[in-house]
Amino acid sequence: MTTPSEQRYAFGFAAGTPYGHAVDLLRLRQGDHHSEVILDLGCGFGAIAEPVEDLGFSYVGIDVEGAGVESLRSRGMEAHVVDLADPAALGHVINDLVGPRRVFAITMLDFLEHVPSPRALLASLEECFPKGGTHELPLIVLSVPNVGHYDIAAKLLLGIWDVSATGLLDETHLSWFTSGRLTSLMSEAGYQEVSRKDFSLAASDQAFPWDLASLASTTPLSSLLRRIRREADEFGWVNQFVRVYERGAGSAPPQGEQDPPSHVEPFLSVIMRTQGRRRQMLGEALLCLMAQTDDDFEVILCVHTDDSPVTAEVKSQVSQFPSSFAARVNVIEVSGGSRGAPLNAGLKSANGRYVAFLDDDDLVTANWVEAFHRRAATNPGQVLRSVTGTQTITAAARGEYLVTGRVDFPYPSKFDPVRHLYSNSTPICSIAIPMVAIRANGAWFDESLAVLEDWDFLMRVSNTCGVSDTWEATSIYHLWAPGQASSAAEPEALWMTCRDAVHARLNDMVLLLPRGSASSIAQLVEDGTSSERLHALDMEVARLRGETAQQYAEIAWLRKHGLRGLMRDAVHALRQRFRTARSS
Amino acid sequence: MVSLRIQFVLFETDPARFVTVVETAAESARLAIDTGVIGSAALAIGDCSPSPSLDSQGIASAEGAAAPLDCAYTFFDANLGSGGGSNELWRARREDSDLLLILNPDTMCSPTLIAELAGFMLQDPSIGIADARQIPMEHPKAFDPTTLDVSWASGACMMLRREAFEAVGLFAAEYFPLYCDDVDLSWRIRLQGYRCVHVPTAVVHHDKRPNLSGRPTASDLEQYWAALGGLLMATRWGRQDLAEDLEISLQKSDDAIQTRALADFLEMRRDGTLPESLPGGERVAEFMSGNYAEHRF
Repeated sequence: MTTPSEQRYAFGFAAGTPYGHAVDLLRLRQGDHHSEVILDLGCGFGAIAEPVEDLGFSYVGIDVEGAGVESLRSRGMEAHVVDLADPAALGHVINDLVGPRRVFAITMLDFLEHVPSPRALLASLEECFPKGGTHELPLIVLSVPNVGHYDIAAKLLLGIWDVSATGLLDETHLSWFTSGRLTSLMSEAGYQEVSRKDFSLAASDQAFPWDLASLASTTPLSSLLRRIRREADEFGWVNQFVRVYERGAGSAPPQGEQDPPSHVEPFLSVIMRTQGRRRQMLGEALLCLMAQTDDDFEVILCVHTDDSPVTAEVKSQVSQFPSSFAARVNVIEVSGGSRGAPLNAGLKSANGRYVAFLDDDDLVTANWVEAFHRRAATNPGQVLRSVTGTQTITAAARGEYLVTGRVDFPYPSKFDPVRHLYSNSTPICSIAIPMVAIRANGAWFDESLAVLEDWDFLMRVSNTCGVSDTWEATSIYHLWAPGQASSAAEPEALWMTCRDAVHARLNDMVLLLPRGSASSIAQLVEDGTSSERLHALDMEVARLRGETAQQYAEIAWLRKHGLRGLMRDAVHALRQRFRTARSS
Repeated sequence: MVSLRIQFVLFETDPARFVTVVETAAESARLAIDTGVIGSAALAIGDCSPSPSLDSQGIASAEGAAAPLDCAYTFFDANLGSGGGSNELWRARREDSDLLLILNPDTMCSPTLIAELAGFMLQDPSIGIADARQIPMEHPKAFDPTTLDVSWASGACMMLRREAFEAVGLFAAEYFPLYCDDVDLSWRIRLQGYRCVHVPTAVVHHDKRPNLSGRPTASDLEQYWAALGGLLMATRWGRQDLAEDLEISLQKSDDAIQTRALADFLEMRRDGTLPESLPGGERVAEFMSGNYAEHRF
């Protein structure tokens, strides 16, 4: 008779559960393999034993608990009681219990998180199946709970950590895994993932109490937190990672699945985009970067073209600069896509802690990087914003352009998040954004937007990070004469469509506003109310003017015709009525 | 083959940043040599600082940045001013250079700067002096879009033909140690019959930064020379009327810098050290609302 404690892991098998997904993955990888061993470490009650045997494999279960092993044996399955905490135990299992039989896969379903040192366990496996040995290292099938599930984070944010008998926060867990940590662990141990079938739950066993503000689906807090979690990565509602690994080169984890590095050099990645058509202007923008007083930056120059010779020419142009600068410029070709495509390509290649943007027809002052760097030290984690001036230019007979106006500053020096909901007043060269925010929030440029992609991007990132102004004028945004800018080629209707799309997205968001926003909004409402009152007053004044004009006309008539005129009209009216009465 | 001399005059210059400045000038010269625009180049650095801006390591770094071009450093142990320093470096040269490029120590050359400037100048022997487009804060001087003729060339980055420079007796450093020296030199070269041009495809970075008014921030020194230089220029270039108007305007000013500039001018007048009016100066001098050229903006 098993005790309640022993029974708590007595899970049955069903399709569409983590166990079902694990067996599905085995089936997909099976090929011509039959009668080979599936070694189930930490087997518990052997939920997958029968399905594995049905596939034609030979099941062997290992567990430290006798109850589960007994259950398996009673069902005709091979199972052994072994304490895998013992360093020599795995060798005993492989060499003595499995013996010469070939092992197709080792399954560790809800096991790895109970092991004191997962790293040591994987190293032991390596020793049991040495390279070039009698048996190749079998596949490893893992099922591991996700500590990054939204429900856990939503509660922990409010100071709640509910440990339970089983589930995501099983009281016996010794390790906790996000997808990134699992990937890193396996990669460092020399394994590469070959397939996955993660198991998701919209509401995990941690989804209680239901009326907690961060859990209840209808609260603004929950909406905001769910959006943040959704944008961070694709695993917010994965309950269990179910994955297959094989011995490999131990390559770097897929982008986005790495734990954030503790120290990233350099401070700033400058992403430039060019189509390679304005070579002089590109050279000037590069010259401005070379002249920076703070050289703690790299340049990612994205050539947006389908014409490889253009990219080669740009590379040649970069190579003309002193090597101390040219060595920090990485030229990459980006073909196809909208204006956001080269920016996203640049983001994927960026190594800096912050990222800034510079188009090939804009200029920056020598302290552009320095101003961002200084502000980042006092306001970490925020979007940094400097002041951008505008200067009118036109096509020229000599050179690519002629400056026709002084530098003006039409954009506010202070970022106003409320007014930015209406329209953008922050040129892309004004801002530097922490890369950790871009990676954590999954913030990329929306390539479905033909224009206004920078405004959309800024609003999504600034909503969570906030904006810190440097109050320094460090860039010049060139305004082409009407009809000469590349963006002028886009019809007005397209601008309106993209603007509506951005507004629709903003409307769908729960907005975070900084301190002082309440006063701004109140002032806007008052301005709007005042505007309505003024309009009503205008209407009333117009009506009164009409009435007054009518009265003046009547007075003028009376003065002209006098009382006799009135009497005459009255007599005339009476005579008419008399004639009418006589004729009827 | 055309030879080029590149000259810098330093005053309390940051040595680390200046090495990068030298690097860009040398790279630009090397590209002009490689493309056959010029045949050779050499660099000369004159230091007017109270104590040397470059120590032995700084000098070695500058020489390394310029290599394989020759680079010579001279500590003047006196403040000769930018014009005086340039004159001294030129007189001390051991080689005979066809072209002279004068660069501010706070400028950085685009790779094609020298090829563009020299290439344009060498097409026409009547061009005596030329300047480059400055970024990010472009100078508002107007220029002829076809001939590229301009009233005066900026000393932050100016290229001179040897014959033209020597024909006018180099910079008038005794009158203009700092600021207006470039305007005065340009007009004297034009008075000699040479052309002065602006080459917009020759680009140099000049570290100017706007304040929120949109204009570069003017130092006290710049403000002083805007006042004193204006008086001297008007006097020298045949515009006594302007000089008198400016004198009256400065007398009414309560700005200390302007007051000092006027006082220094009056002292020069008393001492008889004001520049004499140049015959024919009014033919080339352009006084436009406080500027020395028509401005585009």
